[in-house]
Amino acid sequence: MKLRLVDIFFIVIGLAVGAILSLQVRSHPIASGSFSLDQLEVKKTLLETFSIEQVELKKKLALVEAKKAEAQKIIEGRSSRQTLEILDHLKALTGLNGVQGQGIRITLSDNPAVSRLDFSALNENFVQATDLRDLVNALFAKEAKAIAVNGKRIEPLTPIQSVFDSILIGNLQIAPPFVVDAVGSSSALQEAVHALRQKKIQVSVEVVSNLKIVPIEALRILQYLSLANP
Amino acid sequence: MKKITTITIIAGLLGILLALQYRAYQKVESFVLRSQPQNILAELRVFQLANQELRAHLQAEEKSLEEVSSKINNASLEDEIKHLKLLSGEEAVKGEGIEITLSEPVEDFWISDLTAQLASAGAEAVAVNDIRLTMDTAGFRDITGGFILGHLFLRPPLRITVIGPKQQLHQAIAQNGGIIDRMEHTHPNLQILLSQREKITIPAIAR
Repeated sequence: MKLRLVDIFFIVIGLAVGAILSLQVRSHPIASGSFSLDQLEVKKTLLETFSIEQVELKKKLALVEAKKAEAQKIIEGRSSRQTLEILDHLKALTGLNGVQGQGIRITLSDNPAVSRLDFSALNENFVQATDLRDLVNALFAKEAKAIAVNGKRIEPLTPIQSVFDSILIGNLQIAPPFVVDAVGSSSALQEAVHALRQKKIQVSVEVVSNLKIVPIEALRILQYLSLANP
Repeated sequence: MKKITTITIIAGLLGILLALQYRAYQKVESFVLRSQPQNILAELRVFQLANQELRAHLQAEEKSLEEVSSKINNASLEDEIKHLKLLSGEEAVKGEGIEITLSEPVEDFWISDLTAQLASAGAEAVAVNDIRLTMDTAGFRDITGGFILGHLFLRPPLRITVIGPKQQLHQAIAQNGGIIDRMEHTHPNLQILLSQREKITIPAIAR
């Protein structure tokens, strides 16, 4: 009888090991989407609509901003030197000036083994918004003088968010590969990339002797902020 | 004796498998907790809001163009200078907003995630322990017992002050499954105080 109990115990443990192994092998990776096909279609359609709308809005905005810049130049041409100096100083502090100098160019790409077209919302093989956020934060911490992602200048309050498989920088959608330019000490800035190298995405870093980073496209609209001591 | 050894080996294997499974789960959970969208609608809403903001921006720029065009004759840059002063951190600023207090240090990515969330909800100025985040001061780094922001070491509690639409800001971070929930989930001892304020003042940056 004692022998039988041991046998039964043995068999139960064997079955448990088998079941765990079977579940482990059969489990789907977390990365695969769990949405129904209908939801996926709606999502794709809405995303397309938003993307098209965004391209149109961006074109109009660029046109208006170009006209405004032209008018500003005329005004600046008629302003005093002191006023222009104050303006230049404030522009430099807010990222409205172009920055040029030594720096690094970091290119982040998805792991070639995966494709964004399969609409997997979560996948360590894709470059995530969190990767870009962490990188930008680390670059600022390493005293980057200016940072741009896919040519768009970033400031500390520029939100970098994921929307399905896209990434929004501010209000604009960008697609991989993500090229991050940072002006500053190239050796210090390279340290900011270390953490990303442990991920499953592709990371390449290039030292550039003369990087040019454009000014911020447009200033934020302020509705709540006022001077504490006007 | 032989059976006991076999059972011990199998039990050991089972333990290793369970430990591996648990560690893999924890790794995936931490990744998912940070990256998981709350739901499809929330993600679509982000895109929709981004386009709404772009539309608002376009309208504001059109209005601004009209104003600038009308000022060509007056040669005035006052409005632009005032706007830039508000953004630059050169002057102390005030406005409605929220205040978040973290009782203990967290990993730096939580602060940059929180800042991104606040910025997308309309934050116009953010400061940590009264140091405003600007091009010169940005970049958090967690180190033992505190935070490095710019060249300054900040000790807990961390007080994050935000100027912007207080209700929207509060809602964006305090919703179920939102960033505050996730921070508390991963830091059981962390106490987060969140309050809406009619007036938040952020000092000028000492340069």
